[in-house]
Amino acid sequence: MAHENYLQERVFRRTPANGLPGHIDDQDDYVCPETFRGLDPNALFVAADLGLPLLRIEELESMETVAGAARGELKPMVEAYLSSGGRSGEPELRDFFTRWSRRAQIRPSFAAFHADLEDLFETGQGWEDRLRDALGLIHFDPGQRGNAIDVLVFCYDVREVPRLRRLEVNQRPLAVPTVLDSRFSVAFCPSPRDTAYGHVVDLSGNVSEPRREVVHPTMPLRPGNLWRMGSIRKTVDGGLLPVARQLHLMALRSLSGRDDYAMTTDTKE
Amino acid sequence: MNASLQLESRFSGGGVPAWLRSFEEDPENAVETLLMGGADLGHLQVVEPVSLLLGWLRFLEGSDFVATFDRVLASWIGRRWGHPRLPRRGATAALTATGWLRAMELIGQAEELTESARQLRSHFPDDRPFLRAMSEGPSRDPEGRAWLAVARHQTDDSLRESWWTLCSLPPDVPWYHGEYGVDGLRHLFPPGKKGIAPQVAEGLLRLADGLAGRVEDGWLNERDARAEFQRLARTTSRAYPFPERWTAVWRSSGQKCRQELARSWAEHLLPAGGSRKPVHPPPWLEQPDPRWPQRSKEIGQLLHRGATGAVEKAWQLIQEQAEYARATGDNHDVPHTLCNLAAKVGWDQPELAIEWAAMARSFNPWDVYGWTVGVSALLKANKLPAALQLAMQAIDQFPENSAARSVTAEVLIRLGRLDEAERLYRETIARFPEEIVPRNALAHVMRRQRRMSEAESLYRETLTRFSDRQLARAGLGDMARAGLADVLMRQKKFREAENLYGDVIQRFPPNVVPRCGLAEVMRHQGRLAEAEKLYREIIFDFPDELVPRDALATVLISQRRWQDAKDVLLETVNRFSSDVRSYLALASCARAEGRLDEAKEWYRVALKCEPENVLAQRGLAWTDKHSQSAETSTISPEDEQELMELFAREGPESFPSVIASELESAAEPDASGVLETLAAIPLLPVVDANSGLGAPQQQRSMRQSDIQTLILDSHLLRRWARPRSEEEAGKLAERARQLLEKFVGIEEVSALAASEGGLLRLESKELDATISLLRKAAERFPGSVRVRYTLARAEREAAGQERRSFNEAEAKAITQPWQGLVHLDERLGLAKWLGLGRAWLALQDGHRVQEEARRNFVQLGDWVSKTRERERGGTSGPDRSFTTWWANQLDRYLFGGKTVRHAEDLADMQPLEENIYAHRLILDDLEESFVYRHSIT
Repeated sequence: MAHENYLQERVFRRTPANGLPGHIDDQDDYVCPETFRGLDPNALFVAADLGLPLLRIEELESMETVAGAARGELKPMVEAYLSSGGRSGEPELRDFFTRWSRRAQIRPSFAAFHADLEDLFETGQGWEDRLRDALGLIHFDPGQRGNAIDVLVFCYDVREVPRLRRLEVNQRPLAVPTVLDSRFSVAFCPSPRDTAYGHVVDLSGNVSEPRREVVHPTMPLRPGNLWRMGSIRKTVDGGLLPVARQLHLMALRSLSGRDDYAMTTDTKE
Repeated sequence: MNASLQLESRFSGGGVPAWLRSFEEDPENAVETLLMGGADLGHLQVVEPVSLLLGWLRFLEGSDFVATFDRVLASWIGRRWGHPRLPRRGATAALTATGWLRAMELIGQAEELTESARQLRSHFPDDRPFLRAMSEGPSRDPEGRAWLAVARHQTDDSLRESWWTLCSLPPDVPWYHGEYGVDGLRHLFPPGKKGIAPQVAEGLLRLADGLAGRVEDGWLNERDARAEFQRLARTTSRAYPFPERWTAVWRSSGQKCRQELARSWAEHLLPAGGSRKPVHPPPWLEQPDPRWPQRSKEIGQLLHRGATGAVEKAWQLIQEQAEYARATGDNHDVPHTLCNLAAKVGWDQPELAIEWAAMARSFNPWDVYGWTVGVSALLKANKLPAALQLAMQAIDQFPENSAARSVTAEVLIRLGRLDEAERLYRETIARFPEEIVPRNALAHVMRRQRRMSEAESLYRETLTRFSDRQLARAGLGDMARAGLADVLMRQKKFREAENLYGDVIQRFPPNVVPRCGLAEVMRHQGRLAEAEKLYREIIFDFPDELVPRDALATVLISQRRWQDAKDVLLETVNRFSSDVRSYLALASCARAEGRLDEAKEWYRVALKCEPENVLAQRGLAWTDKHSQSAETSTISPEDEQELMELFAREGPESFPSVIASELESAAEPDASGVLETLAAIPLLPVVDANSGLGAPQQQRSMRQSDIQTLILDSHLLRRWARPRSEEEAGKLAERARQLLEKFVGIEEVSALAASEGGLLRLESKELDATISLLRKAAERFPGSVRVRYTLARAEREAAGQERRSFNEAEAKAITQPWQGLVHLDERLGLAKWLGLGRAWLALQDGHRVQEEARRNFVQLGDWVSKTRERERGGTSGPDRSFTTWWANQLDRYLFGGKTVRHAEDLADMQPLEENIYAHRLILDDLEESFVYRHSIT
């Protein structure tokens, strides 16, 4: 409960009445998550190329809840938009995102680099499950949730991430995720302190090099950011998690050159 | 353990989730823990609890889980409603608010949670402030989510008025809640075979007006407002896919919308290439009857005359207009009609007037007319404490309206508290220097006190101070002249009085007042035949006026022409059937003639009208006694004197008068005598204050309205009480102490009480304790504007009183609470500039103190200038009267009439600082007025 309280009081901030802002005053703790208040302007990804594409996954039903929309309202809009290649359904989606943007809180949003995930989409069906595993989203578990989980994938350039008052015009608040930025996840492993970005645990345990992830303030979305919609159907294999974490930590040690990094983290007493 | 949930069979693959196991064991605990975010969810910990539950509700459909969960959630709402902080270890206000937010989201999204929805509806929206006090903008808005939830579970149309209210965006509704009004209407009137539900179309048009009004008032950016309306219009028209009908709706906006901006937004929704010419609304959209205003006027006249069937006709009209208002949300006509009819029926049937005025307030609580007419009706019904209570609320709700103050002063006059009435009038004159009405009324008070020479000089000053154009407005100048003539007459300056009355009659021949006055001068001079002739002419011309009839009766009675007097009086009671004075006079005339049985009858009629009337009771006892002794009697000299005094009584309706006053001496609010009045209002019973977590039960034991009353008592005590002596100060302190005792305990559960208690403590100067309590209250009620304001003010007071020097920590302490206000509502930026500017000046030393203060005051000054310019340009925002008044008050009391738009305009801060010191009480009052106007908690 203490961590949830910390999140509600310090990290999940209130959105102004007219929606998620494009600029955030990092001196104002009413709107700026603690994650970004002390952000080092010299951190590597703060100066990432503004044209670099990021990917973010959102649960469809959760977006409906936040927007105050009825269950089942969003899916047909997205289908119409994506199936027409964006030629129809754009106004409906835009109106939906406006509504969502007003009621969503300003939080640290987890995102990955499109370039790191491209290969997942090359093999056609099942990309949703692969993406879930690759991003370590263990909570997207249809086995425990009871149903397949509809998700939306958003793709956007770094330039669309909200700006921070303290940063330069061409800088964006892309921060290294820490355990404090969200609710605790058993699949989360913090990266070594001096790394420029975080790394996600691949739930499949099949990846040789951990994929990178960053957090940025929740951004207002537009239909053009919508890239894919799909359903996660595969149950998470909980038994694989310890192995996946071990492999992940080994990779981190290799990447950071710190052989002793997190040596005791997953050791059972 | 609840074995019937059969979870094992449902989760055969991945195992039963940990939380569902705990729900089986202890459902109440599991639900509360999950809502607050403290549940053990295993590897689902990251998931928003609402998403998780929605999934399980769907997955476990058909099992007992759904019904059990619904029952447990309903029970949770019932148990926890009223607790600003859940009584649980580790439960902060933030987690409590989050818990409520999740509960509301769940109910809104899950149609199967019917019992929970019913439980919620039993508290909401009646107790809106509970959720508002934890709402912080649209992204953390349990109140907004509750609107969505009750909208989606509507089983009847009991919320219809609420939806209209939300759509029309009155001052205490955040603009982003307007959408919930449309949502509520959409769920109440879902799409059907008939096309667009007219109520939904009307809701959108009301919202267009509401949003446009916010733009006109300067509270909302036009682009945002237009985008909001058009987004909702698009979304709604997709749900009701009848394009031709929507075209008809948007084209009828010319008639349906009051705001020009709203019409232009609606017209932009018309399809390209089609006609944009406004048309009459289609038949399926209801229209107001254009004959209503005329009918209202005519029925009002019938009521005034007491004509048979007038009340039935009035009800018929009210019903028609009320039905239209309920069908369309257009509340413009019905409150006006209700007030007009209440004002006309008031003399004869005050109870009906009270009912109608209350109806008017329920249709539109933001129209001051319903309040002032309500007070007048209560006065006529002789319900003086209730009248005073309502009048005080009116002042609180309409600080910008001088009529609310005047009507309060009238109540005080009726209570015999002339000193207090005078102080209130003087304050009103000081705050509304351009108003003539309170001057008239003040003069009337002075005349009642026989302070004729003072009254005379004040009249004369008023008549020279205001221009002819100002005096010509609504005959106010003639009222002043007539009043002056009356005062002159009473000082036996008959020639001048006669000349003055003649002058007024010449200017405005149909005016009954100066003609009566002239006749009165004749009567005082003993020119009784001339007076009688003139009165009879006036009665012929104005058969519905009571005053000349009274006066004629007086002339006749003074000549002991009993039968002639009775003829006049009989005619009077035929027209004014509840005029007790005339019945008493008839009885006295009958006694004078020795007709005791007849006298008895008249006394009985008088008592039927007014059972508590002492004169009638006494007269009846006298006639009983003397008829039993079989004596005949003529009227005694004492009775005759009493009879003459009966008609010598003055009423504000008869001879309004005007007195100018030494305005500068009245610049500070000064109404300590109101303490007496407040003391006379019985305090409400409050339960034991020391029962800790039983606080919500306390709140329930005191109705919400009772808490409001208590708060209002304190509020007005603080605002008006300015002790002028040690004795008065002592009384004030004692009264404040009593009130604070009542607040203890209630402050734990009511943000309003916490704020008011804090302000009351500020008066006691116990600042450290006050700030400590307020900081806790601000944590407890994170969405309460009033608590946050009170804290900000307390921090400022403390900084000033302790003469703190500038440093970063001090600066942060005094600035942060003001910043917080704006986060809750952008409109409060104005209160912030005023409050924060003053707060900076409360600190000592430091260049930055002056700079920061200047920065805030320049922003405020710029707004003041723009608002005054906009007013001159004729803006039409619904809140215009308040904002203009507020801007004018700042212009006068803060800036001293100086235009401030740039930093250079305040290069020398000294005059401004002097104004702040000299008018600090008024500036406090202005801050409070602004904050209270825009918040319910």
